[in-house]
Amino acid sequence: MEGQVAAAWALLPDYLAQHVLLSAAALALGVAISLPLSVLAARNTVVRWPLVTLAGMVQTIPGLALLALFYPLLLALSAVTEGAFGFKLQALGFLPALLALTLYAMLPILRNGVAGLTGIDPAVREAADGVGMTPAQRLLRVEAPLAAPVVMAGVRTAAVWTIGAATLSTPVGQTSLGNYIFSGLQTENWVFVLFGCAAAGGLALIVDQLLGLIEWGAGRRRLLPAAAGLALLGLGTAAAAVPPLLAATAPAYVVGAKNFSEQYILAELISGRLTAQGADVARRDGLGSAIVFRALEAGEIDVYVDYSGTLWTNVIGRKDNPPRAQLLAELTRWMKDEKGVVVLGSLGFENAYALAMERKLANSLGVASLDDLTARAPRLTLGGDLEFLSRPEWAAIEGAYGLRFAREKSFNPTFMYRALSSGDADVISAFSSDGRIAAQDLVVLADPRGAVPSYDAVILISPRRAKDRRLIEALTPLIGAIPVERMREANYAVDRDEGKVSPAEAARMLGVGSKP
Amino acid sequence: MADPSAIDFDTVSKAYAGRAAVDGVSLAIPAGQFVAVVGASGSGKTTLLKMVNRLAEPSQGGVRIEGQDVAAQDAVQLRRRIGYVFQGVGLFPHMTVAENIAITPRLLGWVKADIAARVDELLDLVALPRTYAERFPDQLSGGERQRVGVARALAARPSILLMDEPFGALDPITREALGQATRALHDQLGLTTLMVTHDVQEAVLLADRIVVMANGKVLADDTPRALLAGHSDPDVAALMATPARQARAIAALMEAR
Repeated sequence: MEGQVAAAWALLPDYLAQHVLLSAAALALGVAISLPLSVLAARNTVVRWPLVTLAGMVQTIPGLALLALFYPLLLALSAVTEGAFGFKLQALGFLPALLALTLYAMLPILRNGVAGLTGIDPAVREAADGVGMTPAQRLLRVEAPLAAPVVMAGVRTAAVWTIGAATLSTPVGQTSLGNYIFSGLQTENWVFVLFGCAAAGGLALIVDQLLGLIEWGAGRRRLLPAAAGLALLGLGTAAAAVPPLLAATAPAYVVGAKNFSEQYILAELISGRLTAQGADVARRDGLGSAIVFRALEAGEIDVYVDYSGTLWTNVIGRKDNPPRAQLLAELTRWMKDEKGVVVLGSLGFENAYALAMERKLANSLGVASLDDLTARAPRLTLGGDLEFLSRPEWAAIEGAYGLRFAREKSFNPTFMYRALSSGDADVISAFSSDGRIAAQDLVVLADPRGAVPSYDAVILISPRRAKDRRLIEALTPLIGAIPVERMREANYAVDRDEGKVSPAEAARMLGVGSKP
Repeated sequence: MADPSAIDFDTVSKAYAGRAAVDGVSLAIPAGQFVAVVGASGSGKTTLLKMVNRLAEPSQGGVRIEGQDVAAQDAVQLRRRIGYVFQGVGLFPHMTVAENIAITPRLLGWVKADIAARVDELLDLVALPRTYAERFPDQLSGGERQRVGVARALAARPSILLMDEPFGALDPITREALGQATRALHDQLGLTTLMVTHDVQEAVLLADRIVVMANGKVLADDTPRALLAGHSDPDVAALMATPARQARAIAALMEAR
């Protein structure tokens, strides 16, 4: 527990700085766009309704989805700009997070801006005209100060929302306080989850109070509190901005990871080996599994670990199911020829999708293989991880064995295993390298018809690093070096409740650590 | 045309949504005159007033100030040259009394010292203590606020003063006092004043000339004395008879004691 808190504190400067920088930029951009739009909407009733409705609709999109949507959007746009102007847009990390959060910040500012401006007594507006103000003078000297309290309330709401929603930028590859929450959820590290929530909440509270101080001071014409609030906000943002700007030299390598324990551990392992070589390494953790390969292809990350069967079905789109060695060989060739991506080789273990049940239930129903499950499925509930039910692997299993479950539910992987013991699911989509299979004494159902491909854990290297000798030499010793038992132990050390260790410590347990 | 009038309405009309608010009005107001325009709500009197400084634009006809067509002038510059006292209050609630009064001189780019001196001078002129300068409008009584309104209108030394129901929201005592004070300022500063009111008694007591309007047209245009004596239009006659009738009724009440 103390160890986890200490680990959380150690990460705080980086996470907080990035979170502050992202939120401040999004809020500033949101204000810069929304204020002129409010003036326009307040003057022009024809654009008011569509504008406010559009902003309202953006708000109904869940934050996570909005952030994720900017990734393919920017990727497509990047292809256009590269073709037309010869430069690429950054589709992962700061830019998509900034754009999504800016959209998110717009509604409260826009709505309050319109309300503030249209709420001004028409007699006062006419008086402004009557004393001889130009429209611009009327706006600056009369309308803006009178609408300011309402507008400021909108800015404060937007600030709190933006700081909260910024925690969701982790899956698109932008470091934020959300890194605590996402990694904590995956590894059942509740200290991290709470720490992330408290840090984001505390930040939102402080910013809201400082904005309140500025509003209070400006409303009463007290220069000191207004200036103090403004200065503290500015200083805070500057303090967050300085370290990343000073370290503006791009890191040599960017290591990616999907959003589960094994991926965090393997990313630590890879980073460890690279830093041991004296290389500068940045991390992009918690990426969605659909995003991560495209990020590698686009060169936004340089290296990560994926699984052969996943690439086979999801990236190549193959439905056939060749033997393990043949699949790996064909995959390696296809990746090199079609994408320029290097498949360095298998780490030595598989992390296959496999349906699993508690031993007691499996024995009482007499189920040992997927064939046995077909007759029993209509009375059972299937629990899948968040993407399993929509993946082609599930379609293949479902088709091959004619499985029809009574109910199908999706869970975060952590909760999926818990669902078995709580009775919320009878069969789950387990991962074969997961330590919880042994720990919970689960039965992995055999796949006699070979519906599921093999899932060798493979190191992938981006096209622009394909000939990077230092990278390849640093990682080649990992090939074939991790037996599945060792991986299961490491995974379980992170996932278990008692004596939990950090992914970095678990990476050292793999025994192939950072020899120079 | 020897000496042009201060304000000249030349058959002006103004239609809102097909309905004529002002319908072919011609009036010539000589410099120095205090003219009251009376009429019921919707008679078009406020629209007529607003056409002088282009807060309303005529659909037909034109308005000239000292012989110059207002439509040919920049509306913003025009308004800075003309004092305007607004219906209700119309003060800027976020500005102090001094800032409200100083607004037009500031827009005209006067130097700071001149503006400060002018604010003090105007507070004296409308009989408000100079200590009021730093107060906000919501810290003043209704009468005090309208005194500030008059001071603001006069700040840039206009020769023409337009007033739209200036004393309508005030209690009778304040109303009478402020009316008299405004008339005194009119005489003292040599202004040309056009005041819109629905109160015939106020018009009779303050104005040199009364224009009676109904349905956008001028029904009568004469001195208070002449109109009080009677008029061929029965509506005008009835309207103008009210102050005298009220006075007689009050006198009768007093005698009956």
